[in-house]
Amino acid sequence: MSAAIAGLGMTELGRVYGRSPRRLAADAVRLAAADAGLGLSDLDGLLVSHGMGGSPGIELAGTLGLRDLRLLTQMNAFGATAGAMVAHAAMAVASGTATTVACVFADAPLKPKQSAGSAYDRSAREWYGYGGMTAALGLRSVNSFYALAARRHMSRYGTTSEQLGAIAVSTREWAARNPLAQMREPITIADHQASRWVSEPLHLLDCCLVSNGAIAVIVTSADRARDLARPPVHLWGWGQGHPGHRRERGSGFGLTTGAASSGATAMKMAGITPSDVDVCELYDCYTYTVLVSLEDYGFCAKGEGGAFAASGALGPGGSLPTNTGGGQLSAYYMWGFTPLSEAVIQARGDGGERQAPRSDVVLVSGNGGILDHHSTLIVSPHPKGA
Amino acid sequence: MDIGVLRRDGRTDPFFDGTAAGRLVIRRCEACERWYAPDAGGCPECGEEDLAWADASGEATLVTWTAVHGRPAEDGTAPPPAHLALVELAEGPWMYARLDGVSGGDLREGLPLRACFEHPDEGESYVLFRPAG
Repeated sequence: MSAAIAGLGMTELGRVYGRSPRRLAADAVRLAAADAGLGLSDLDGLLVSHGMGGSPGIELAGTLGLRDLRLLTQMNAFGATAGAMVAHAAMAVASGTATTVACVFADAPLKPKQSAGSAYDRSAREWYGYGGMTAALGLRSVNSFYALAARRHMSRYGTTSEQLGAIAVSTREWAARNPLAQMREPITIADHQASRWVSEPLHLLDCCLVSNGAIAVIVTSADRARDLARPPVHLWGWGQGHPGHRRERGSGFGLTTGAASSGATAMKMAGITPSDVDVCELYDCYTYTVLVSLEDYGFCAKGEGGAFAASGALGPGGSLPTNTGGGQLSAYYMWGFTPLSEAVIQARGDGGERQAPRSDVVLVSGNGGILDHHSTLIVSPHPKGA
Repeated sequence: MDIGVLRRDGRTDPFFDGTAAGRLVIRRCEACERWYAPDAGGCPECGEEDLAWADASGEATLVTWTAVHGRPAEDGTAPPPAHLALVELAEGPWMYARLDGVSGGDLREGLPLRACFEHPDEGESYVLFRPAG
């Protein structure tokens, strides 16, 4: 039995204060159920993913007053979680474990009168042990670890900061067309180059936003989805990839990611190749994440991601519309639910000014750790094999 | 270089015995003769959980690096950037490290490095890496 996404619920996203992550998650699940034309009592499965705050967990079921659930789990594969959740929900539907599963992510790291950068800051006067030494010496931000990855690619393949900037620019061009995006002012490569260093070679405009909010989707059988309120978004394929690069001689750290195996698995299941993909919704915690994911999925050769991005392929009017809602860089940072939500919008044809010319096959990625964990979904407005 | 105060944690103390004496002490699996970084929790090859501590040569090469710029002070002056890196020890493991005595233009993949040791007035001694030769 094949599965489909039947509902999408998004709370206000960004500088949204006064609601706990649990409350935001509950709101998103209600919105997603209503979008599908379902009541909360129709749900018999709930998968929960939380951000940095550690909430919500499975107590969310109680908050929502859900009864007699047949599937209830908190899932965590870092930034790969959204894809893993939807795949798990699809398999639960296929196996008869549950019929109608809500998948939700919520986080609220931003506090009023606080900079976005300080939301994840950790600094101290005293440090403990070997790990503490690494942090004390200055390696204590995820930004720096991604900078190490990006620099390695630059050293090996000649990738440039301007090529990363092309991704920031094309993503912002999409965001300018998305009323849900937090950052809609157009930017240029010069703006990217002039933005302050966060951790060389990454400028501020290479880095994602920080957002409060919650997003949920409802997964059910394709047959049932057809009878619900919104057009089904069919799940054609899914995959995960966890390369396990060790930090030692010969490591592929920074150069290759789990997108390679995750994408191959998902595309094989879907019966497609990269040339069949109309739209990419890629996890873009950093511009570099997009570049290396495009290579590992096979949209261009290894080492040519920079030239591919600079060719204009990713923006409006390009050959591979990518992050059509403005992604995490310019729209909103809801971990893997940023690309997932925009994929649903594009597959439904609800993109308005930013609707891609074709959205018959949409690829969605998730990325977690320092390029350590990856998930892929292939979704479509059409039933698989139709 | 002000890094705050570094204390022992009871699990990686031999590393700091080493830095105090000017030696780079890392982990080694005696069963399979493989070297690991000081924070390794065990040997993924053979499952050995009790890795030995052993002296490394202190020779390394640069794998990749980043420069972290502090926020400018109110008078507009910015502290010099910290050059942070992944280095490959001659024995094979990679270590996260801070580079000393370098500027951005000097850096390239494969640059030979050598461990050097800082002994602050307060707190544990620590390791930095400088260009060799």
